[in-house]
Amino acid sequence: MIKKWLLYFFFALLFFSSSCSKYRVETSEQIDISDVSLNNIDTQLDIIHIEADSSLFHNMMTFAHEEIEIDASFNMYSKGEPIISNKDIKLKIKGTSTVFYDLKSLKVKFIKKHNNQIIPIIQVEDALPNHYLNVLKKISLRNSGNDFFGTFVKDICYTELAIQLRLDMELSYYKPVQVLINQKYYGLLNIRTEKDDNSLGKLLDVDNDDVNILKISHAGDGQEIISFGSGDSLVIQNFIDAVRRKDTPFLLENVDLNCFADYIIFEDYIGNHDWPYNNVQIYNVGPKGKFRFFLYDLDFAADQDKHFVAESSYNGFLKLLYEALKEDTHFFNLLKERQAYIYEKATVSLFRSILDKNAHKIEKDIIYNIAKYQTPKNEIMWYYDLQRLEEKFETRRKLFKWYYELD
Amino acid sequence: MKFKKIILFLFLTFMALQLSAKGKWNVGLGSTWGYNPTELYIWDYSVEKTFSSGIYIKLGYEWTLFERFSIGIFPGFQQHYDEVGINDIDAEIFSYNFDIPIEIYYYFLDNWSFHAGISIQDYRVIEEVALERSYNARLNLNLGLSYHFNYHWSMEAGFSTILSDQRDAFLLRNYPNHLIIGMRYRFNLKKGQNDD
Repeated sequence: MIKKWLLYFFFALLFFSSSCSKYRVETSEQIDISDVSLNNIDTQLDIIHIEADSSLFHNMMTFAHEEIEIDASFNMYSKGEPIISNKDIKLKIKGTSTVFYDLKSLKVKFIKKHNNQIIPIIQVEDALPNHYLNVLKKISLRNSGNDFFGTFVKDICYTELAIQLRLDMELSYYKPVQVLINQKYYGLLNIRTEKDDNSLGKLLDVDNDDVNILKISHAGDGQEIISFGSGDSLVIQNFIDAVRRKDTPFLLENVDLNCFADYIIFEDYIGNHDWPYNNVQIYNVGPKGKFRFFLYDLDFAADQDKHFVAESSYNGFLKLLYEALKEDTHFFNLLKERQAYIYEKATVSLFRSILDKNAHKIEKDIIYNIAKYQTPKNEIMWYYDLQRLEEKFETRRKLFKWYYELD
Repeated sequence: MKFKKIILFLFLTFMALQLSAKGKWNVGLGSTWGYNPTELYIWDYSVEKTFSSGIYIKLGYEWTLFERFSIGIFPGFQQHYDEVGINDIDAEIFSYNFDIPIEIYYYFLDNWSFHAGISIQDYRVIEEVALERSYNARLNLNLGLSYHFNYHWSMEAGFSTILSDQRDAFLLRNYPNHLIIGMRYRFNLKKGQNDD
């Protein structure tokens, strides 16, 4: 009899001992999110207020994966004062897997292009050389992608790192904003400049029609899809063919080697494991422009510590390009030189200063996302994830040094 | 989940063997305190009150190896509660941890015993599931001293610390060390029989 009871007791112990920990966090400031409006939101950030037909907006949010585009009106406030009023836009949901998140990223397309010099939607203190933000046609309001559940600043911190290193590539500039839709609080989001032909044309101050784009995206199970983005398909096809036949002389002539070196090494340095079979955009301008690279979607950086370009099992398009160009001594030496530069300059203290700046900027605003979406779960978990973000960068940097035997 | 299934399988196998055998069973119950002796920073803020309190319960089996040595496996369960302050934000933390220690016991001076061993403890943080950190299995070093009042009853005091380098949960950083104090009751399943 006692055996039986002991057995029951142990089973009960096992079931009841399913390990778990729970945090209950109380802050002095409690937000009733249903009461938050343009008049009472407490923020130092700029505010975007989008007005759209309620039923159309609801329909777009309900069928988030169907790429529904609706008409809407764009308003922006800075320091409590309206700076843009009733600007006509097309609004749609942006993203792939993240369209199913409660806080969805939005794509804003201005019907009439916006002069960002006169009324700045996004201000960049120190843009990379040859980048212009004078005119905007499209912007996105991004939920930080897969980092939505984490720090909310991961993607922008790694982007800022590339900016501060003055790397030779194109990228998406950013600014955090509070967003309301139809008078109701929507969420804390990051304004990001876009990378389509129109936006890229404006960023580079060239004719949009001259921009030719090639994209690599994930088809599942590590397989990639190479697709024509926009522009002259013949130019893109010639480039694809040259890579596939490993035509090193053609590629040396037609690829911007400084840009490619910085791009490959930076992605490798930060350990972005949602790359290179995904999130790749290559472009050139005109029939004979050199092919360059656009850096984006860094929300999976430093998540897999021991993933290195040199030993990756990936054997796709970028690897073929990399292998073909590496045969050239000048490019091989350039890779080594840029690797040493990035390792030396992209220090833990630099990353920490970027992280601190971006996180402190939204510290008083993240509580609105916590109140509305319970994401992040609470401030303490957010602090902890910021700490982990810095530590993961440091770990990745150490492993990079060890793997490539850097001094 | 795989980790937990393996633990469950091993534990049930162990139970099946032991329920059909005769031997020394131990049940333990007591208090546990978690602490961090160093100043802890999470991002830009220091953590106040790095101290937790709780209870533990464990049940296991002890085999005598030699005259003064024995080995014991005592699966148990710990519950902790604490209030933490970070940057004027108060948090209550409730933790329920499954623990499997394997310990060597040395008996000396008739009534005393010392034990040392390791344990695997599963710290599962609900808030971190979304970040694909569904559990944090960690290796502990355990040390302890017991005074035996008689064959059945003893009192134990112990210390454990997390050996694992990576502490991928706030909880593990806040309380890497634990003290315990409690009572144990030793018994046989079949009265009057003891194979050891």
